[in-house]
Amino acid sequence: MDNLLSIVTFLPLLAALILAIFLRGDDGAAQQNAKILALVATGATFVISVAIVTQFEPATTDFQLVERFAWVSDLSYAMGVDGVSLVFVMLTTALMPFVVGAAWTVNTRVKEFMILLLAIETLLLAAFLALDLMLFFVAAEAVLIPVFLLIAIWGGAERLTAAFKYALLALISLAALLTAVTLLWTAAGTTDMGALLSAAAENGPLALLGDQYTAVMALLLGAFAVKLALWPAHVWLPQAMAQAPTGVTVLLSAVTVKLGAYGLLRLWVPLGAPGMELWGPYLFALALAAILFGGLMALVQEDLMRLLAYAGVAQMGFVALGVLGATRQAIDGALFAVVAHAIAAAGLLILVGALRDRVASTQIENFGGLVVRMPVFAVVFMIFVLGAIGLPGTAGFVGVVLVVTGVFPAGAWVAILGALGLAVAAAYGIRLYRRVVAGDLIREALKAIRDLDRRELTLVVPLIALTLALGIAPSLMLDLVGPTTEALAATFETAAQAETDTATNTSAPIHIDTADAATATAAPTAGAGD
Amino acid sequence: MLALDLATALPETVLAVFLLAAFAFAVLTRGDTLTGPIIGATTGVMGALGLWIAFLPAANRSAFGGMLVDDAFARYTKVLILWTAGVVLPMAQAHLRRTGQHRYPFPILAGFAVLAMLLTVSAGDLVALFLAVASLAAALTGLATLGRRTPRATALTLRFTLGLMAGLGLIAFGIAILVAATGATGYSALRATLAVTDGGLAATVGLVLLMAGLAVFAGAAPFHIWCGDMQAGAPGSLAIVLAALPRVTALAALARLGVETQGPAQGDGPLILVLIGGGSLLWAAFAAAGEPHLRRLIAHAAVFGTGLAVLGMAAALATGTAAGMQAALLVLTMQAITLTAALALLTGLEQDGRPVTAVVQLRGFGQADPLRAAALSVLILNLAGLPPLAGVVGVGFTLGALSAAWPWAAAVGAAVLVPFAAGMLRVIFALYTPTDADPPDSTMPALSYAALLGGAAVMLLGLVTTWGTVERAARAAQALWQ
Repeated sequence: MDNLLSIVTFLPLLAALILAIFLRGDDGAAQQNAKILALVATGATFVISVAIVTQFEPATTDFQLVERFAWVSDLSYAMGVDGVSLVFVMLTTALMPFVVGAAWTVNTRVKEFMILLLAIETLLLAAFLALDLMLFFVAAEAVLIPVFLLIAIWGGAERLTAAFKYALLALISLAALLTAVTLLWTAAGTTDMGALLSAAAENGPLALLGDQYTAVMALLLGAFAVKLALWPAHVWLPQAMAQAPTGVTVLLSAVTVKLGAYGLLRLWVPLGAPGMELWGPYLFALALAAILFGGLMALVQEDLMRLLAYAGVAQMGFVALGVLGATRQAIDGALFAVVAHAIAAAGLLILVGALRDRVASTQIENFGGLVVRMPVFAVVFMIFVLGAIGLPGTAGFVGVVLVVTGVFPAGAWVAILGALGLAVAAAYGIRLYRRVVAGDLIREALKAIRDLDRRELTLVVPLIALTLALGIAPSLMLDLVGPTTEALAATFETAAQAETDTATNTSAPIHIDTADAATATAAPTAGAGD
Repeated sequence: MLALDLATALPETVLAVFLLAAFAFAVLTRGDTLTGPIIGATTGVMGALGLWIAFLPAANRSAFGGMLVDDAFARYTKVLILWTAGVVLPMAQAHLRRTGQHRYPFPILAGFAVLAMLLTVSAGDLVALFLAVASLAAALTGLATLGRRTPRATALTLRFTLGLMAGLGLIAFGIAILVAATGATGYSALRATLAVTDGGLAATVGLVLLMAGLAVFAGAAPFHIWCGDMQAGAPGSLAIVLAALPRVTALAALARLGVETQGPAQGDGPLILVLIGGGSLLWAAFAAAGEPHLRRLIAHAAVFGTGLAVLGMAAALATGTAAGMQAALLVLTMQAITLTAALALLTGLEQDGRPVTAVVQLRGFGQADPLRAAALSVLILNLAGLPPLAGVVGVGFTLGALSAAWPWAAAVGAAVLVPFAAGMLRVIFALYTPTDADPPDSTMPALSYAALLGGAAVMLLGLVTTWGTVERAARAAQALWQ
């Protein structure tokens, strides 16, 4: 199959078109059909995407399974996969059936809901696989519209505020990425990611971008920080999570947020070496602040969805920390943390969604002592909470440990503060479990609550298996991505080395003037508002 | 020589002869009963002329001693104007019937307006430019007065006329000063003189006035004041005509004037254009963010597009490359198609028998009519320049061209997308918010329906294929420098 990547990418969209054109009516049967078709489509996409893994050569660090067609003007429709994008693609295809499953309780305008979900899957896959900068931009930013609609139409009471908050932040991210992409395009004269990154690797990112380097890096960081919900650009996430229906919360937290991580790994790491030389400590401080802020905020939340959102902010701080560390271990750790958080978050959100379906509330004070009536729930919830706070044996542990050890060369304080984040995570995890599940069941409303039903169990059991499997045998994933992350770390290392050499050599042609750098940042960052 | 000149201007000649004949025929025979057939015939002639210009191979040439230029740039804009007008005219019929304006002067005047537009984009001489723009102003004023039924409409017509006349005055004044300063009227002669003498202050002032006058016709800030009111108050059909076409025309004339008199990478042209374009973008973006009035919002969107196009032109002038001009043409093309398609629905939209004016009145439409609501959503998002719709191509190319000239301008251009798109998203939100009141409805003639769905389909598929538009725009832009 020469067009494997395109087939995987566009299969969900095809299903969406079939839904749009052929499904008529809005009765129970039609709704059920829409759900089943969406489930089958996302499932089939996952099954076919397994072929990408089997055809993938881990030892090759170049883009593989490449497809390339002429597109508008001198842009091209180019797709390919390497170790980094493989992780994100598989994550997306594997989790989308769970997103659809978690959305099973939606019962208004089901057809439109499923169409939007399927469209988002295609856009995400296209963004992860795109080898053309413009194609990446278009796919990544096009996610805005369907997510906005999903929150605005199917959200809770305050959906309007939540949707517009999301849209505003996402638009800022869009504007920043668009500027960065056009500046990169103008500087490199190409939108081909491979050509662009090898040009950057050859002469160093500074030579490629000149005095726009600071602006481009700031814009890229700003754009992806919003998508990743990295503190302080996270403001859209808690409210969106609190208002969106369960399926959408899973989608947001487990999949779309990861677009930011992908962007950072794909563009920031290869270009970031001189930047780390200049602003390394500040950026590390930013990521650490995200970890600690997210953790502390999670500790004081009274709403389950918001708590999980802030826990996500903290976890994404770890991802950012790994990206900034840019050693092989750190990058491996970031990738692992992405996957681990996605699985744990999906599981927890499905469970919280199950509670919301039963009690119509996500306020922590409305729960307590659930273990009495819901023993299965209590066990499953325990596993995911432990996974989310990074207990050994779960995938979360591997990610966090790799990140913390990986950033050690950058400074012991970074690693130590990062590890402190783990302690905070343990604190909010235990508090969450204690207040929701443990204790006596004293609330009247909970006396008749049902344990997890078959649908909910079917959704969470594979996720448990996945988090345990990756926790016990991380090599399942690390062997696939290892060579790519090693090459990525090596690129960064070479660029950083070149930067150090240049800095010591005063007659060097490439020298970033701090005054210049300041003026270059001023306009775009003010414009982008991040 | 004369034969060659006439051959160059043949499409315009055909249109003029047809319009005169139709006019005479209607006056001498059955008058208003012929309105329908005349509209049909005018549409046919415009469509055919568009096909002729688009697909018959032609070399770049000029006629009447450089007064009229027929190059790829002129042909591109002419096809755009002819086809947009060809779609708009019959679409306006239903509205004309409803308001008792279904009379034969309408298609004739609209035809003359189009003829003036064709001449404007071809003008390669200050005198020709003035004549063409003056005819355009006359025809548009005539069209506006046809729709005058209420005191409010009369007031708006007056405002519109005053706006046009102010623009025309600026153009006349600018031309007079420019000619006095340089002694030349042809663009190439002007360029030669300016290259030798640098023109001096007088020439600069003249050029600035002339550009400002054209910016009035383009509805660019700070000369946009008449646009919003006109959009809000004009009868539907006219609003469509006024939204897209004079804009394209004036900007095309501005582009030719800028490139052919200034030469690459010099002069004050780029600076003025940056001010006008940037001002339009900023004004439109922030006005759109809080605009409750639906058609006014669309007018802001049009000004936003104008701003982008003007900035693209400024970048092209500053760098002396065609990329910015290509971007401007793409923006204008997308705008023309999108505005036409969106207004095809919006102008006929009614709630409880009264026209829909507020954004919030769209509530419930998404459920009442999913197909048309979806099409409108696509068009609105396309105006906002959001991916994955075709509008992003124009935005991306413009910012790309800008970043080659002034990287900070590209950043500002991208940043103003935020308030602008947020404003446009309110329409989408309203469309899909349920309501207890009766949702709005619109009885659309088949043609309007086709325009709406066709426009949405084009923008939806625009990233898959642009049917060669991008390449044609590139050729058209390059022609200006040859």
